[in-house]
Amino acid sequence: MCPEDADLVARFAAGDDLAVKAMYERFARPVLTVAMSALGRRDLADEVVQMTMLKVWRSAGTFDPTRDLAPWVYSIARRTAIDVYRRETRAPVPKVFVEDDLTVDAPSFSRTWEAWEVRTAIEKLPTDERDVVRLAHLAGLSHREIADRLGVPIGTVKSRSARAHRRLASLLGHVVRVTEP
Amino acid sequence: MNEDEFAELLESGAPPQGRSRPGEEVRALLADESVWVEPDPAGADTLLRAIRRASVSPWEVADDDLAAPLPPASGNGHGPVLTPVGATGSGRGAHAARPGARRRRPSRVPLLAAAAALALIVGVLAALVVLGGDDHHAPEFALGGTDLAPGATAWATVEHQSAGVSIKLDVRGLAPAAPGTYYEAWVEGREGKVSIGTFHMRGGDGWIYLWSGVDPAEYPTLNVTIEREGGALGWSGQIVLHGQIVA
Repeated sequence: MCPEDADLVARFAAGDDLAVKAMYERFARPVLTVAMSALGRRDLADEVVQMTMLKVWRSAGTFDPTRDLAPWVYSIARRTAIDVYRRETRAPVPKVFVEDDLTVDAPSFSRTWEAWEVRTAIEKLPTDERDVVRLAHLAGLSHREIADRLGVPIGTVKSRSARAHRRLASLLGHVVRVTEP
Repeated sequence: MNEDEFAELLESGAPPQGRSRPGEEVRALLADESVWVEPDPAGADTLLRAIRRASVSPWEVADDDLAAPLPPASGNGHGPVLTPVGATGSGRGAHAARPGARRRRPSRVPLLAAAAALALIVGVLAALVVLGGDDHHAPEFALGGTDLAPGATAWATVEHQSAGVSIKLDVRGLAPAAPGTYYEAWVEGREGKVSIGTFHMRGGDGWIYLWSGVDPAEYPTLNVTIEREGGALGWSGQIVLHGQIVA
């Protein structure tokens, strides 16, 4: 873990206002993404975000500073989502979580991790590039339609799109390698 | 697949040749709403309050409490049965931020020690309140949304003043009152109901300042109803927020 993260976790553990807000700003989105992809309900996902961040705070004092911060937060988020799912359904855990019980289901495991990684990568894009990616993928707009929506030349949209996807490919290359058969 | 090919796949979504290509699942995620949804903008403040509260009372963030189910709101306008959490006068916790969450008895032995410490804190804070302590130590309690406003919550702070009782509501998720209607807050006890103020929430989430001329100890229930402008004065019975006053 980088020294900045170690310092952030230490201040977070101490309840420092700025550190709390920094941790929330950094991790609320990927935690929400994991919760939404797992639970599919916004109200429960919001609850998972709060519960996860609180659990992270409670555990921050025991966190090993030699480890990376993000996978640790992810593991807490995922476990919290499982707990909420069990609480809500009082039913067998869905296949996406089956590895938490008895068997390992690698494809299912990679799904929530990939969602986390994709969200984290999206947040690292410059705003103008992120807007283009969102409109292209989530809204399904063409470059022309995006240009009209944003009020910029289509050439600008194309160049932003190319840059954004090269950035995403660089940020998410390790995810692809993990999922290769 | 190298990085350039991956970037091209992400951008163009070129169809697979023969078999599923690595990276298509990543591209599919980019079109998934879950990777674009935005968290509650007030979430950081909620977390901060929860941490402050937990710093005073570890009970408020016990794992069992955090995992407790939320009971459904009833359909008669009287929403979830609320558990006051403000006896210590401390801030809002994650558990407390979800009024109606079921409380469980802490099962951990160390909590006994925490309970003793908490009792001491309660005593000290209660004394501060009785002696006219500052606003930070005013009793607090939660209100939950009913079926008429299932996404609404509020956090209330009670402060006894020489002119009456000040009740501040930090209201979240309550829709602006429709044209021709408004919200009215009521305290209720064995002697009946007393209106303590009206508001409309058309400015979005925020603080509502109410005044009660009656003693909350005698009127321990706080309800918020929807009322109609120009209609008969009095209680409509259409409750959107409900809670028990801790004063």
